[in-house]
Amino acid sequence: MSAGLPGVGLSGVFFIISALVMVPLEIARTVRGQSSLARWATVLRHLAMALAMIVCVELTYAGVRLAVAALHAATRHVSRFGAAGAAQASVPKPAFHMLPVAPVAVTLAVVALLLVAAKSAHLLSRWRQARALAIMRSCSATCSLPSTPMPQRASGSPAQSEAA
Amino acid sequence: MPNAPADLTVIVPAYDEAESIADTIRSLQAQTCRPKEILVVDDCSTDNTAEVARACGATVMRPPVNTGSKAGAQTFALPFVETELVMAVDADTTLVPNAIELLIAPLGDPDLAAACGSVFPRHVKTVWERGRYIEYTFAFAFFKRIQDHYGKPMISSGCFSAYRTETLRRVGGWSTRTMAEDMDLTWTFYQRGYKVKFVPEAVCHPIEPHNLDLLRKQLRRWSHGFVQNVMLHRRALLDLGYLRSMVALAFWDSAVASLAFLVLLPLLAVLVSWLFLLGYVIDAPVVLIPVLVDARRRGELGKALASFPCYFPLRIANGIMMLNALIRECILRRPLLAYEKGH
Repeated sequence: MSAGLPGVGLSGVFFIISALVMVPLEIARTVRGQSSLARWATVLRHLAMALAMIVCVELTYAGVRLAVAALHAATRHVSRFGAAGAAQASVPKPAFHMLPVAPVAVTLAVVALLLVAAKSAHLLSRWRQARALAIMRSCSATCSLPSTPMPQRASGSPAQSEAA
Repeated sequence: MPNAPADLTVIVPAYDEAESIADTIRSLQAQTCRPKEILVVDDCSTDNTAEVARACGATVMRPPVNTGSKAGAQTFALPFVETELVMAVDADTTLVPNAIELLIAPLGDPDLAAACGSVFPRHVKTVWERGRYIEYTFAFAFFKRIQDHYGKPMISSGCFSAYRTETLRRVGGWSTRTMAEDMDLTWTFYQRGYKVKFVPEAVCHPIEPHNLDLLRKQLRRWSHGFVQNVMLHRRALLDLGYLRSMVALAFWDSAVASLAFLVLLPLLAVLVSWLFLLGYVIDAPVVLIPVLVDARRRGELGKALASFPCYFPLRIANGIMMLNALIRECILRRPLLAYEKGH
């Protein structure tokens, strides 16, 4: 999500995952000698926030379930004994509920599906480009046309390549 | 004692900004690292914006006719820039005293095309301003920092960003082809192989929409701008790994989250159980944690807690405008072409 987009949504899930993935990536950078204390500070800050978010969502869900269960029990008591009996309603102690697995799994699956779809579109686009170049090459060879230089991906820094 | 002026020109596009532009110019002049020149582009204002800006000591230029957009006004001024760095600042935006110094520090890297800072509303009074305060705090405290860690801030905010002048000229300046010129420019930089940096400590304070009418105009521009940019850059985005993922999910959210918020949740609440209404607030902790962490650091915990409920009506408004933009741009093929000012 960025300003102007509705809700936290799947982007929120993606950024929480990104925050968690920062740790192994930063370990790899550290091993390669490319990390720094400042980078680790950012990584740990976001890891802490991401973990706190997950815990708070769990607690919120559990709290809501407890509240709803208590409300239902009280409502049942009122319907049986009248309004006067509501105060004496002995609400059964509901069990603590963790976030149900199914919706979490579906959410993660949709995120994964979207990422895979985007990557597939990328691979398809590259395959099409490669095929178009191959057709152009074969055309220029059979028609004995002067071959045009193939577009190359800029290497090195953009400033250097544009200057060149 | 203030330092020597930086090799920097600040472009301030302005249309009928007589009330706010003096604050903007004064905040630029009070920087620890002052710009060499402040260019105010008076885009044929009907009020005395030009006189106010001139009286404050800025250089004022006026195009022969109204350019029709912020991007047009900024690009009009670009050929007159003679410094190595250029900055765009909205005419209703003030900067904290060391904002420029912090923002231009990383721009010594020639591969870095732009640097952007944090944005927090100047006034936090109405429901919409409070909602925006939470939205910005959340975005700049969590999302944008992660995006920066992965080297791909999604947008270099148009209200406060610095650029290498030569690089900006190479990509053609600010384009008027979409309603979100800042997103267009940022994604163009990435496509050309340049980098963009987010500097969280460099803070600016724009005036945000205080009523629904101004908010509608701003959200209309932003939502149409987002859809237009996705459509315009969709092929090029495929090559940009992390950005591609972010945009794919943001686009999904803009369509599906809007539908869920506006249609699905109310229907389920009526037809199945009122408990589905909890869907509107179940993600509140996800938003609240980064907001409180950042607000505490800035000594604004009370303001954040008081503003938090206002975030929920704002995102309903976001959903309505985003759904409207998607329908008009993608289904009806009636793109938004006229730039409507609304902060």
